[in-house]
Amino acid sequence: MKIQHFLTIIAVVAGAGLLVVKQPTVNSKLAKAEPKLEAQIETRKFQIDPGELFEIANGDAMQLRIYDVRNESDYNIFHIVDSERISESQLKDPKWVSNLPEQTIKVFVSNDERAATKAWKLLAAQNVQNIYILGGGINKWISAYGEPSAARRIKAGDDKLKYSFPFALGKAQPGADPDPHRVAPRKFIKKVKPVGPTVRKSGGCG
Amino acid sequence: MGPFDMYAILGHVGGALINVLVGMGFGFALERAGFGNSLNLSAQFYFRNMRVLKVMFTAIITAMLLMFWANALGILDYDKIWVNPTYMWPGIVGGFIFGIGFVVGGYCPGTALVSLATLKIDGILFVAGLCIGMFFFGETIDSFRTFWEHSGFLGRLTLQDWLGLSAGAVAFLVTLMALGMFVAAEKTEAYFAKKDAEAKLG
Repeated sequence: MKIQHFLTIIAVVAGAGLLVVKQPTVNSKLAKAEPKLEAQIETRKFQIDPGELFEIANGDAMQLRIYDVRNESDYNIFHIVDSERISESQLKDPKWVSNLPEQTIKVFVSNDERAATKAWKLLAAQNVQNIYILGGGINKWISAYGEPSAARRIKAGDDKLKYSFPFALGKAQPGADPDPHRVAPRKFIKKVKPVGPTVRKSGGCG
Repeated sequence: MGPFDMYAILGHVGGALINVLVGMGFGFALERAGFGNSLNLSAQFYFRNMRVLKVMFTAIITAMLLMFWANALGILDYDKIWVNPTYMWPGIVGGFIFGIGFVVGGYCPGTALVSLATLKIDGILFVAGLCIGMFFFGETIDSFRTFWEHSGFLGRLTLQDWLGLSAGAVAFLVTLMALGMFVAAEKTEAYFAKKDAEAKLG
């Protein structure tokens, strides 16, 4: 048998084999990585304090994207300024995931942490780097930066919005875009690892 | 699991060294395939020597089959492989200009560098022309930047996205297509060899 014929048979068999052998899906990747990711979540190294998110958002040291994984209704009631609402299907779409900026901190936000943790796991299973969760979620953010006169605390279950607002104002809601000169500084442990070209803070010379 | 960030693993020098070694290996493979000779390359366009088609499609199906098998076996994460984003209109215009350059000059940029490495005069002149072209491109890009950087943007677009088929089905179809093209290339070469021989005999 000629070598060309032998290689042709190998190519056809290898190609046909791919029709049978399944390529990994996002769900299968997640199932495989789940125990490891769960252990990482329990260390709470990826749940950042609202104070750290606020500091990064108002600094110029790192690029930041905030992804809100809540339903549209909650998002319309209140969301952090510059946050983008995304759906679970986007998190499972390889095309969307591959277009995520690499040298950028990506923070997932839900009312508490459950939905954001799920989003974090989905992306971590797809080897996306520099991803974090807003620790305590929007509820903790509102308790830190919201104005008591604008929001009334209510009883709600896990990962539900625990504040009631008279109007759905989204990012125009008091506390959605706190003034860095007016809010009291928060004490927190820094967890975000710096990425990307570090920009010198203003005020230096040269 | 791959792909591996060699700069993170081996540091800046080690990562750069890997790039150099891969580049040298690629150049060596091109040279051994006869791609350092413009006569071999331009003969493709006259259907006299189809080695460009044969070598390139062999490389494509070898890499494709290895990549999808590695992905299926969990050795490689295919979604982390860099795929050049598609800019349809700049791609068509650029492909047209590239094609004219290839037919006229007898080289593409990679094979021109291989030819340069073996000190062929046409290769040296081609690379010089390439550098002049790059200079003018760089100097004039502002006049067509919007077209170049935005028009026809389709992001990461692969055959399976476009056809709506599974990766396995696309891999199998591309393999069959390549094998079919190899057979057609052999037949075409034989046909033109016979025709040329008849023409010589008058």
